[in-house]
Amino acid sequence: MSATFSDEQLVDALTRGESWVMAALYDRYARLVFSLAYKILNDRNIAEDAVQEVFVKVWRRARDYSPERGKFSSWLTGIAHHHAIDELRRRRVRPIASEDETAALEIPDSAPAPLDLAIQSLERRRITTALGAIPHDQRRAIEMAYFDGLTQQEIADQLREPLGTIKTRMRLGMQKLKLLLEDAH
Amino acid sequence: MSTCQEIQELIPTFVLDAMTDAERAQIEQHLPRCADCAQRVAEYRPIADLLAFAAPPVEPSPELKYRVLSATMPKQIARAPRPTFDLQSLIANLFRAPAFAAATLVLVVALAIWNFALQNQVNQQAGLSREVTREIEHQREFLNIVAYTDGQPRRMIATDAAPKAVGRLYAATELNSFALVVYDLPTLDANRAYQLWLIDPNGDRTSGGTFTVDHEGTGWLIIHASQPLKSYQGVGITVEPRGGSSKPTGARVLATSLRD
Repeated sequence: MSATFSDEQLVDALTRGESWVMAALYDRYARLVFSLAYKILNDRNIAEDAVQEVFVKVWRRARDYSPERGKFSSWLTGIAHHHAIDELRRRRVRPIASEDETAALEIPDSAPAPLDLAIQSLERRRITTALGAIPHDQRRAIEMAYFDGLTQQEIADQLREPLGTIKTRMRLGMQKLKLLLEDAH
Repeated sequence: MSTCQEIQELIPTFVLDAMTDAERAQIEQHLPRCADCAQRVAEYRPIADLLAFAAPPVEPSPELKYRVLSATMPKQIARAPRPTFDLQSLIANLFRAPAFAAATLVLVVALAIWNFALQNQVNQQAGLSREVTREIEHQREFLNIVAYTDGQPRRMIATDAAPKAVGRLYAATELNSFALVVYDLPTLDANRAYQLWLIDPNGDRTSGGTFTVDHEGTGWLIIHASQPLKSYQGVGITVEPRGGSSKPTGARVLATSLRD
Protein backbone atom coordinates (compact mmCIF):
# COMPACT_ATOMS: atom_id res chain seq x y z
CA MET A 1 0.00 0.00 0.00
CA SER A 2 2.76 2.44 0.98
CA ALA A 3 4.26 2.35 -2.51
CA THR A 4 1.25 4.33 -3.74
CA PHE A 5 2.23 7.26 -1.51
CA SER A 6 5.29 9.41 -2.04
CA ASP A 7 7.67 9.93 0.85
CA GLU A 8 6.53 13.53 1.06
CA GLN A 9 2.90 12.46 1.33
CA LEU A 10 3.78 10.03 4.08
CA VAL A 11 5.71 12.62 6.07
CA ASP A 12 2.91 15.13 5.60
CA ALA A 13 0.45 12.56 6.95
CA LEU A 14 2.83 11.84 9.83
CA THR A 15 2.88 15.49 10.85
CA ARG A 16 -0.92 15.39 10.90
CA GLY A 17 -0.77 12.52 13.38
CA GLU A 18 -1.96 9.78 11.04
CA SER A 19 -1.21 6.61 12.96
CA TRP A 20 -0.61 4.25 10.03
CA VAL A 21 2.31 6.21 8.60
CA MET A 22 5.07 4.86 10.81
CA ALA A 23 4.28 1.32 9.71
CA ALA A 24 4.41 2.42 6.05
CA LEU A 25 7.71 4.26 6.53
CA TYR A 26 9.13 1.32 8.42
CA ASP A 27 8.13 -1.11 5.70
CA ARG A 28 9.73 1.11 3.10
CA TYR A 29 12.98 1.98 4.84
CA ALA A 30 13.71 -0.43 7.70
CA ARG A 31 15.97 -2.65 5.64
CA LEU A 32 17.95 0.32 4.31
CA VAL A 33 18.36 1.86 7.76
CA PHE A 34 19.17 -1.47 9.39
CA SER A 35 21.70 -2.37 6.68
CA LEU A 36 23.46 0.97 7.19
CA ALA A 37 23.41 0.67 10.98
CA TYR A 38 24.64 -2.91 10.81
CA LYS A 39 27.44 -2.01 8.40
CA ILE A 40 28.58 0.72 10.79
CA LEU A 41 28.03 -1.01 14.12
CA ASN A 42 28.71 -4.62 13.12
CA ASP A 43 26.33 -5.99 15.77
CA ARG A 44 22.72 -6.98 15.13
CA ASN A 45 21.46 -6.09 18.60
CA ILE A 46 23.10 -2.69 18.70
CA ALA A 47 22.06 -2.00 15.11
CA GLU A 48 18.43 -2.86 15.88
CA ASP A 49 18.48 -0.55 18.90
CA ALA A 50 19.86 2.16 16.62
CA VAL A 51 17.10 1.58 14.05
CA GLN A 52 14.49 1.93 16.78
CA GLU A 53 16.04 5.21 17.94
CA VAL A 54 16.22 6.50 14.36
CA PHE A 55 12.55 5.86 13.68
CA VAL A 56 11.60 7.45 16.99
CA LYS A 57 13.61 10.52 15.93
CA VAL A 58 11.83 10.58 12.58
CA TRP A 59 8.49 10.35 14.36
CA ARG A 60 9.38 13.19 16.73
CA ARG A 61 11.11 15.41 14.17
CA ALA A 62 8.92 14.86 11.10
CA ARG A 63 8.07 18.57 11.08
CA ASP A 64 11.77 19.39 10.64
CA TYR A 65 11.86 17.67 7.26
CA SER A 66 11.57 20.02 4.31
CA PRO A 67 11.25 18.59 0.77
CA GLU A 68 12.94 21.73 -0.59
CA ARG A 69 16.16 20.75 1.16
CA GLY A 70 16.38 17.25 -0.28
CA LYS A 71 14.87 13.81 -0.55
CA PHE A 72 13.30 12.17 2.49
CA SER A 73 15.56 9.15 2.06
CA SER A 74 18.58 11.47 2.36
CA TRP A 75 17.16 13.07 5.49
CA LEU A 76 16.44 9.65 6.98
CA THR A 77 19.80 8.10 6.11
CA GLY A 78 21.49 11.26 7.38
CA ILE A 79 19.81 10.79 10.76
CA ALA A 80 20.64 7.07 10.70
CA HIS A 81 24.27 7.69 9.75
CA HIS A 82 24.82 10.31 12.45
CA HIS A 83 23.15 8.16 15.07
CA ALA A 84 25.10 5.03 14.16
CA ILE A 85 28.43 6.87 13.96
CA ASP A 86 27.77 8.52 17.32
CA GLU A 87 26.98 5.09 18.75
CA LEU A 88 30.10 3.62 17.16
CA ARG A 89 32.31 6.36 18.55
CA ARG A 90 30.78 5.75 21.97
CA ARG A 91 31.30 2.04 21.85
CA ARG A 92 34.23 1.68 19.51
CA VAL A 93 33.15 -1.89 18.84
CA ARG A 94 35.30 -2.20 15.79
CA PRO A 95 38.50 -0.40 14.79
CA ILE A 96 38.57 -0.90 11.03
CA ALA A 97 36.31 -1.70 8.12
CA SER A 98 36.01 -5.15 6.68
CA GLU A 99 34.45 -5.63 3.28
CA ASP A 100 33.13 -9.18 3.56
CA GLU A 101 31.92 -9.47 7.10
CA THR A 102 28.22 -9.45 6.32
CA ALA A 103 28.41 -11.81 3.38
CA ALA A 104 26.69 -14.64 5.22
CA LEU A 105 23.71 -12.47 6.04
CA GLU A 106 23.36 -10.61 2.78
CA ILE A 107 20.12 -10.70 0.89
CA PRO A 108 20.91 -11.06 -2.80
CA ASP A 109 19.91 -8.07 -4.92
CA SER A 110 18.20 -10.44 -7.31
CA ALA A 111 15.68 -11.47 -4.64
CA PRO A 112 12.10 -10.51 -5.54
CA ALA A 113 11.45 -7.06 -4.17
CA PRO A 114 8.45 -4.76 -4.06
CA LEU A 115 8.66 -1.37 -5.70
CA ASP A 116 10.20 0.35 -2.68
CA LEU A 117 13.00 -2.17 -2.45
CA ALA A 118 13.52 -2.10 -6.21
CA ILE A 119 14.10 1.65 -6.06
CA GLN A 120 16.61 1.20 -3.25
CA SER A 121 18.25 -1.61 -5.17
CA LEU A 122 18.78 0.72 -8.12
CA GLU A 123 20.32 3.34 -5.86
CA ARG A 124 22.57 0.66 -4.42
CA ARG A 125 23.65 -0.40 -7.86
CA ARG A 126 24.43 3.22 -8.82
CA ILE A 127 26.70 3.83 -5.87
CA THR A 128 28.39 0.41 -5.77
CA THR A 129 29.11 0.64 -9.51
CA ALA A 130 30.61 4.09 -9.03
CA LEU A 131 32.63 2.97 -6.00
CA GLY A 132 33.89 0.02 -8.02
CA ALA A 133 35.11 2.36 -10.73
CA ILE A 134 37.41 4.48 -8.57
CA PRO A 135 40.87 3.39 -7.39
CA HIS A 136 40.76 1.02 -4.40
CA ASP A 137 42.81 3.34 -2.16
CA GLN A 138 40.39 6.19 -2.74
CA ARG A 139 37.37 3.97 -2.15
CA ARG A 140 38.85 2.62 1.05
CA ALA A 141 39.53 6.08 2.43
CA ILE A 142 35.96 7.18 1.65
CA GLU A 143 34.43 4.06 3.19
CA MET A 144 36.55 4.34 6.32
CA ALA A 145 35.32 7.89 6.75
CA TYR A 146 31.67 7.12 6.07
CA PHE A 147 31.19 3.68 7.61
CA ASP A 148 33.81 3.76 10.37
CA GLY A 149 33.32 7.40 11.32
CA LEU A 150 37.05 8.09 11.17
CA THR A 151 38.62 11.47 10.57
CA GLN A 152 41.28 11.88 7.91
CA GLN A 153 43.94 11.88 10.63
CA GLU A 154 42.59 8.63 12.11
CA ILE A 155 42.53 7.03 8.67
CA ALA A 156 46.11 8.14 8.06
CA ASP A 157 47.13 6.65 11.41
CA GLN A 158 45.40 3.34 10.74
CA LEU A 159 46.77 2.98 7.23
CA ARG A 160 50.19 4.34 8.22
CA GLU A 161 50.06 6.85 5.39
CA PRO A 162 50.82 10.59 5.43
CA LEU A 163 47.81 12.78 6.22
CA GLY A 164 48.27 14.65 2.96
CA THR A 165 48.00 11.39 1.01
CA ILE A 166 44.70 10.53 2.69
CA LYS A 167 43.32 14.01 2.08
CA THR A 168 44.22 13.76 -1.60
CA ARG A 169 42.71 10.28 -1.93
CA MET A 170 39.45 11.33 -0.37
CA ARG A 171 39.19 14.52 -2.40
CA LEU A 172 40.00 12.81 -5.69
CA GLY A 173 37.74 9.86 -4.86
CA MET A 174 34.78 12.09 -4.10
CA GLN A 175 35.40 14.17 -7.22
CA LYS A 176 35.42 11.02 -9.35
CA LEU A 177 32.32 9.65 -7.66
CA LYS A 178 30.54 12.92 -8.40
CA LEU A 179 31.49 12.75 -12.08
CA LEU A 180 30.56 9.09 -12.37
CA LEU A 181 27.18 9.55 -10.70
CA GLU A 182 26.40 12.61 -12.80
CA ASP A 183 27.25 10.63 -15.95
CA ALA A 184 25.10 7.71 -14.83
CA HIS A 185 22.09 9.93 -14.15
CA MET B 1 40.67 33.78 6.51
CA SER B 2 40.44 30.91 4.00
CA THR B 3 40.03 31.46 0.32
CA CYS B 4 37.19 29.84 -1.61
CA GLN B 5 39.71 27.61 -3.34
CA GLU B 6 40.96 26.30 0.01
CA ILE B 7 37.42 25.77 1.25
CA GLN B 8 36.32 24.02 -1.92
CA GLU B 9 39.19 21.58 -1.62
CA LEU B 10 37.86 20.62 1.81
CA ILE B 11 34.21 20.28 0.79
CA PRO B 12 34.36 16.67 -0.51
CA THR B 13 35.55 15.54 2.91
CA PHE B 14 33.31 18.03 4.74
CA VAL B 15 30.23 16.16 3.47
CA LEU B 16 31.77 12.91 4.74
CA ASP B 17 32.19 14.47 8.18
CA ALA B 18 35.79 13.24 8.22
CA MET B 19 37.57 16.40 9.30
CA THR B 20 38.65 17.90 12.55
CA ASP B 21 36.32 20.15 14.53
CA ALA B 22 38.49 23.14 13.62
CA GLU B 23 38.30 22.42 9.88
CA ARG B 24 34.55 21.87 10.10
CA ALA B 25 34.07 25.12 11.99
CA GLN B 26 36.14 26.93 9.35
CA ILE B 27 33.80 25.72 6.60
CA GLU B 28 30.62 26.26 8.55
CA GLN B 29 31.62 29.87 9.18
CA HIS B 30 32.39 30.40 5.52
CA LEU B 31 29.30 28.84 3.93
CA PRO B 32 26.64 31.38 4.96
CA ARG B 33 28.74 34.13 3.34
CA CYS B 34 29.56 32.33 0.09
CA ALA B 35 26.92 31.14 -2.34
CA ASP B 36 29.50 29.41 -4.58
CA CYS B 37 30.86 27.24 -1.78
CA ALA B 38 27.35 26.56 -0.46
CA GLN B 39 26.44 25.44 -3.96
CA ARG B 40 29.47 23.14 -4.01
CA VAL B 41 28.33 21.56 -0.74
CA ALA B 42 24.88 21.04 -2.24
CA GLU B 43 26.52 19.24 -5.17
CA TYR B 44 28.58 16.90 -2.99
CA ARG B 45 26.01 16.20 -0.29
CA PRO B 46 24.01 13.73 -2.46
CA ILE B 47 27.20 11.69 -2.99
CA ALA B 48 27.56 11.20 0.75
CA ASP B 49 23.82 10.50 1.04
CA LEU B 50 24.07 7.83 -1.63
CA LEU B 51 26.84 6.02 0.27
CA ALA B 52 24.17 4.81 2.70
CA PHE B 53 22.85 2.59 -0.09
CA ALA B 54 26.27 0.93 -0.47
CA ALA B 55 25.81 -0.98 2.80
CA PRO B 56 25.14 -4.66 1.96
CA PRO B 57 21.41 -5.33 2.40
CA VAL B 58 20.63 -7.14 5.64
CA GLU B 59 17.18 -7.94 7.02
CA PRO B 60 16.31 -6.81 10.56
CA SER B 61 14.54 -9.32 12.80
CA PRO B 62 10.75 -9.46 12.38
CA GLU B 63 9.97 -8.21 15.86
CA LEU B 64 11.90 -4.96 15.34
CA LYS B 65 8.87 -3.57 13.55
CA TYR B 66 6.74 -4.07 16.63
CA ARG B 67 9.40 -2.48 18.81
CA VAL B 68 9.48 0.57 16.54
CA LEU B 69 5.71 0.84 16.31
CA SER B 70 5.21 0.33 20.03
CA ALA B 71 7.80 3.06 20.70
CA THR B 72 6.03 5.50 18.43
CA MET B 73 2.38 4.63 18.83
CA PRO B 74 1.82 2.16 21.65
CA LYS B 75 -1.87 2.83 22.09
CA GLN B 76 -2.77 2.20 18.49
CA ILE B 77 -0.97 -1.12 18.45
CA ALA B 78 -2.03 -2.42 21.79
CA ARG B 79 -5.62 -1.42 21.34
CA ALA B 80 -6.10 -2.16 17.68
CA PRO B 81 -9.70 -3.31 17.41
CA ARG B 82 -10.32 -6.77 16.10
CA PRO B 83 -12.57 -6.85 13.04
CA THR B 84 -16.04 -8.01 13.96
CA PHE B 85 -19.04 -8.76 11.80
CA ASP B 86 -22.62 -8.52 12.99
CA LEU B 87 -25.00 -9.31 10.15
CA GLN B 88 -28.22 -8.47 12.05
CA SER B 89 -27.18 -4.96 12.98
CA LEU B 90 -25.79 -4.40 9.50
CA ILE B 91 -29.18 -5.25 7.97
CA ALA B 92 -31.03 -3.16 10.56
CA ASN B 93 -28.82 -0.17 9.76
CA LEU B 94 -29.31 -0.70 6.07
CA PHE B 95 -33.10 -0.53 6.45
CA ARG B 96 -32.78 2.73 8.40
CA ALA B 97 -30.42 4.26 5.84
CA PRO B 98 -32.01 7.13 3.82
CA ALA B 99 -30.65 5.71 0.59
CA PHE B 100 -32.41 2.43 1.13
CA ALA B 101 -34.97 1.69 -1.59
CA ALA B 102 -37.42 -1.17 -2.00
CA ALA B 103 -35.54 -2.36 -5.04
CA THR B 104 -32.53 -2.91 -2.85
CA LEU B 105 -34.47 -5.30 -0.65
CA VAL B 106 -34.10 -8.19 -3.08
CA LEU B 107 -30.37 -7.71 -3.21
CA VAL B 108 -30.04 -7.41 0.56
CA VAL B 109 -32.10 -10.54 1.20
CA ALA B 110 -30.10 -12.47 -1.41
CA LEU B 111 -26.87 -11.29 0.13
CA ALA B 112 -28.12 -12.20 3.60
CA ILE B 113 -29.02 -15.74 2.54
CA TRP B 114 -25.68 -16.14 0.81
CA ASN B 115 -23.93 -14.75 3.86
CA PHE B 116 -25.71 -17.10 6.25
CA ALA B 117 -24.61 -19.97 4.01
CA LEU B 118 -21.05 -18.72 4.08
CA GLN B 119 -21.24 -18.30 7.84
CA ASN B 120 -22.34 -21.91 8.09
CA GLN B 121 -19.38 -23.01 6.00
CA VAL B 122 -17.07 -20.94 8.15
CA ASN B 123 -18.47 -22.58 11.29
CA GLN B 124 -17.82 -26.01 9.79
CA GLN B 125 -14.32 -24.98 8.84
CA ALA B 126 -13.78 -23.60 12.32
CA GLY B 127 -13.63 -27.07 13.77
CA LEU B 128 -10.87 -27.97 11.34
CA SER B 129 -8.96 -24.75 11.81
CA ARG B 130 -8.91 -24.68 15.60
CA GLU B 131 -5.20 -25.34 15.52
CA VAL B 132 -4.65 -22.39 13.23
CA THR B 133 -6.82 -20.18 15.40
CA ARG B 134 -4.83 -21.16 18.48
CA GLU B 135 -1.62 -20.34 16.66
CA ILE B 136 -2.96 -16.94 15.59
CA GLU B 137 -4.02 -16.19 19.18
CA HIS B 138 -0.60 -17.29 20.35
CA GLN B 139 1.11 -14.97 17.89
CA ARG B 140 -1.20 -12.11 18.80
CA GLU B 141 -0.33 -12.55 22.47
CA PHE B 142 3.35 -12.57 21.54
CA LEU B 143 3.00 -9.33 19.56
CA ASN B 144 1.12 -7.69 22.42
CA ILE B 145 3.89 -8.60 24.86
CA VAL B 146 6.49 -7.19 22.49
CA ALA B 147 4.42 -4.04 22.02
CA TYR B 148 4.05 -3.53 25.79
CA THR B 149 7.71 -4.26 26.57
CA ASP B 150 9.38 -1.61 28.73
CA GLY B 151 12.52 -0.26 27.10
CA GLN B 152 14.83 -2.62 25.30
CA PRO B 153 14.51 -6.40 25.42
CA ARG B 154 16.87 -8.18 27.79
CA ARG B 155 19.61 -10.01 25.95
CA MET B 156 20.64 -13.50 26.92
CA ILE B 157 24.26 -14.56 26.83
CA ALA B 158 25.28 -17.50 24.64
CA THR B 159 27.35 -20.27 26.17
CA ASP B 160 30.02 -22.41 24.56
CA ALA B 161 27.33 -25.02 23.82
CA ALA B 162 25.77 -22.63 21.27
CA PRO B 163 28.18 -19.71 20.85
CA LYS B 164 26.31 -18.05 17.97
CA ALA B 165 22.91 -18.15 19.66
CA VAL B 166 21.00 -14.92 20.24
CA GLY B 167 18.21 -14.74 22.82
CA ARG B 168 16.01 -11.81 23.80
CA LEU B 169 13.41 -11.58 26.55
CA TYR B 170 10.50 -9.19 26.21
CA ALA B 171 8.72 -8.25 29.40
CA ALA B 172 6.50 -5.49 30.74
CA THR B 173 7.14 -4.40 34.31
CA GLU B 174 3.97 -5.64 35.92
CA LEU B 175 2.93 -8.50 33.65
CA ASN B 176 3.45 -12.15 34.51
CA SER B 177 3.68 -13.12 30.85
CA PHE B 178 6.83 -12.54 28.87
CA ALA B 179 8.18 -13.59 25.51
CA LEU B 180 11.41 -15.17 24.37
CA VAL B 181 12.84 -14.95 20.86
CA VAL B 182 15.91 -16.95 19.85
CA TYR B 183 18.04 -17.06 16.74
CA ASP B 184 20.84 -19.33 15.61
CA LEU B 185 20.25 -22.07 18.17
CA PRO B 186 21.30 -25.53 16.94
CA THR B 187 18.44 -27.62 15.54
CA LEU B 188 17.66 -30.56 17.83
CA ASP B 189 16.59 -34.10 16.97
CA ALA B 190 12.93 -35.07 17.47
CA ASN B 191 13.53 -36.45 20.98
CA ARG B 192 14.87 -33.23 22.47
CA ALA B 193 13.65 -29.68 23.06
CA TYR B 194 14.88 -26.47 24.60
CA GLN B 195 13.51 -25.67 28.05
CA LEU B 196 13.46 -22.26 29.71
CA TRP B 197 14.12 -21.99 33.44
CA LEU B 198 13.14 -19.16 35.75
CA ILE B 199 15.56 -18.87 38.65
CA ASP B 200 14.07 -17.42 41.83
CA PRO B 201 16.11 -15.55 44.49
CA ASN B 202 16.72 -18.85 46.34
CA GLY B 203 18.28 -20.35 43.23
CA ASP B 204 15.34 -22.72 42.63
CA ARG B 205 14.48 -23.41 38.99
CA THR B 206 10.92 -23.38 37.64
CA SER B 207 10.15 -24.43 34.09
CA GLY B 208 8.89 -21.64 31.82
CA GLY B 209 8.05 -24.07 29.02
CA THR B 210 9.71 -25.93 26.19
CA PHE B 211 10.20 -24.94 22.56
CA THR B 212 11.94 -26.06 19.42
CA VAL B 213 13.60 -24.07 16.65
CA ASP B 214 13.18 -24.20 12.89
CA HIS B 215 15.90 -25.23 10.46
CA GLU B 216 17.43 -21.75 10.72
CA GLY B 217 17.62 -21.92 14.50
CA THR B 218 14.78 -19.47 15.09
CA GLY B 219 12.18 -20.05 17.77
CA TRP B 220 9.97 -18.28 20.28
CA LEU B 221 8.11 -18.97 23.47
CA ILE B 222 5.56 -17.21 25.62
CA ILE B 223 6.16 -17.75 29.30
CA HIS B 224 3.25 -17.55 31.74
CA ALA B 225 4.92 -17.21 35.12
CA SER B 226 3.55 -16.77 38.63
CA GLN B 227 5.20 -13.36 38.99
CA PRO B 228 6.75 -10.63 36.81
CA LEU B 229 10.13 -11.27 35.23
CA LYS B 230 11.86 -8.73 37.49
CA SER B 231 11.03 -10.92 40.50
CA TYR B 232 13.40 -13.59 39.28
CA GLN B 233 17.13 -13.70 39.70
CA GLY B 234 17.90 -15.10 36.26
CA VAL B 235 16.76 -17.06 33.28
CA GLY B 236 18.45 -20.00 31.59
CA ILE B 237 17.77 -22.27 28.65
CA THR B 238 18.94 -25.88 28.54
CA VAL B 239 18.58 -28.85 26.20
CA GLU B 240 16.13 -31.39 27.66
CA PRO B 241 14.10 -34.44 26.60
CA ARG B 242 11.18 -33.51 24.33
CA GLY B 243 8.51 -33.37 27.06
CA GLY B 244 10.67 -31.25 29.37
CA SER B 245 12.32 -32.03 32.69
CA SER B 246 11.46 -31.19 36.28
CA LYS B 247 14.90 -29.63 36.72
CA PRO B 248 17.75 -28.74 34.31
CA THR B 249 19.67 -31.79 33.18
CA GLY B 250 21.17 -30.88 29.81
CA ALA B 251 23.65 -28.38 28.42
CA ARG B 252 22.88 -24.71 29.03
CA VAL B 253 22.78 -22.72 25.78
CA LEU B 254 21.61 -19.25 26.86
CA ALA B 255 21.46 -17.46 30.19
CA THR B 256 21.00 -14.04 31.71
CA SER B 257 21.12 -12.57 35.17
CA LEU B 258 18.24 -10.25 36.04
CA ARG B 259 20.00 -8.68 39.01
CA ASP B 260 22.17 -6.14 37.14
